[in-house]
Amino acid sequence: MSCEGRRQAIREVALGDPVPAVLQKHLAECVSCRATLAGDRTLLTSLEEEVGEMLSAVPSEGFIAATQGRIEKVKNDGADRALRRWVPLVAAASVLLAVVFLPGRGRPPSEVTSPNEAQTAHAPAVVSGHEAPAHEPTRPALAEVQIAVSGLEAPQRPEAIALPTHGARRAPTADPAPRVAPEVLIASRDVEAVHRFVARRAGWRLVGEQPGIWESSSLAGSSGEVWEIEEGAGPVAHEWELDDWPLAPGD
Amino acid sequence: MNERVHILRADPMNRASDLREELERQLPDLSHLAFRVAYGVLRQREDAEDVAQEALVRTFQRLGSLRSPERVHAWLVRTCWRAALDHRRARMRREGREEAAESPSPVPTPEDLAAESQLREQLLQAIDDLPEKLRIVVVLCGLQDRNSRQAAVLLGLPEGTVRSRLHAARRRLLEVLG
Repeated sequence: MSCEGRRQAIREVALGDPVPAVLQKHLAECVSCRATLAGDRTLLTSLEEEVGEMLSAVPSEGFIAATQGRIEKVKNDGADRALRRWVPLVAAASVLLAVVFLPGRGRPPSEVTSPNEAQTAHAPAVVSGHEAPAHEPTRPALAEVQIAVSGLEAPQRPEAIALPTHGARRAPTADPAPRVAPEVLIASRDVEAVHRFVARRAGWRLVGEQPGIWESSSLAGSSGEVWEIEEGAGPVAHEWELDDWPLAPGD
Repeated sequence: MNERVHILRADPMNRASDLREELERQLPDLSHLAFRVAYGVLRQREDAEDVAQEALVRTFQRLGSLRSPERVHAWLVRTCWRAALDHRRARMRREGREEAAESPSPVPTPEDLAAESQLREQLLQAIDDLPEKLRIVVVLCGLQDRNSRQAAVLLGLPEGTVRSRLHAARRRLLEVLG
C-alpha cells in the first residue's frame, strides 16, 4: 500500500486510535508518514487550543447585571400586561353571581327545623344573593344566578341559571336591618355545576383529568396559559364561613 | 363578580413562577453558558453578549411552557445557538454589502496581520464550515470530550452520540486542514 493509501489510517491514529501493527511497521520505515502523523497531531493540538480559547471567553463584567436588568424590566412589563389583560376578564369572569331569590321561594336558615334539613344547611356552599323573605319557607328554593362573563372584549349579556338553594345566611348577631345583598346557600354538590357553567360561559374548558384546572380557549392561541377556578369555592373552604355564620336550628 | 368564584393561577403557572426564580438564581451560570454558545458562533464579544442576553430574556419569557430546569438549559442553548447563527448570517450579509460598496478593499495593517494569523483564520473557518450538528458539540465541549455529559443533557442526546459527533468533528477538521 502506498503512503497516500495509508493517509486515512494515519488520521485515525492522530485522532487517538491504536496504531495497527502494519502501520507501525510502515511508520518505522517511512519518514514522510511519520511527518504526516506529527503534522496531524500538531494540527489537532492547535485546534484544541483555539477552541479552548474560544470556550474560555467570558462575558464582560457588567453583562450579568445588564441581563438581570433586562429580565426585571420584562417581569415588570409582563405584570403590567397581565394586569391589563385580566382586568376585563376578571370584571367579566365577572361572574356576576348575583343571586336573586325567585319571589316567594326562599326562606332564612333559622327556619330549618328537621335534622335532615339541618344537615343540609351545614353542608352548603354560598353564592351571593338577596335576603329571602323570612315568612316564605318553600324549600329547596331556587336561586337564579345571574352570570355575566366576557372574554377579553366587551362583556356579554348576563345569563342566568336556576339552582336549588337551602336558605340564606344571616348575621351571627341580631341585625334588624335587612342585608342589601345577603348570601344564598346552595348545596355543595351544586358548586361544581356553577363552576362548570361559569367556565363554559368564559370559554374555559376542563384540562385533562385534573379537577379544577381550566384552560381558556380564548387565550390558548395567544399564550397557552392554563387557569383554574379556585377549588376553595367548594365546600371545604366554606366551612369557616358556616362557623362564623351559624345555621343550626334555633340559632 | 361573585366573591366566591376566584381565578387563580393553575399549577403550570406556579411552576413557571418557580422556574423563574430558579432561572434568576442560576443567572450567572446561564449567562456564561449563553455567552459561550453565542461567542462560539460569533467570536465577537459585543455581538455575543447581545445575542446571549436576548436569548436569556426570551427563555425567561417562555418559561411557562417548559417543564423542568433541564429543559430550561436546553431551551436556552437552542435559542442562543439559533439566534447567534441568524445574527452571523445577517452580519455576513451586511459585511458583504459593505465590501461590495467599498472599492478598492482596504489593505490590512501590520497590526491586523499580526492579530489574525493565517492558520488561526483557517482553523476558525474550518470550524465554521462544520455541519451544524457537529459544530454545536464543538462549541459546547471543545474538541475533547470533557463536557460531553453536560452537552448530552443540553442537546437531549445520548452521551455516546455526543462523543461520536465530537470524534466526527475532529476527523472532519483534520481532513479539511491536514
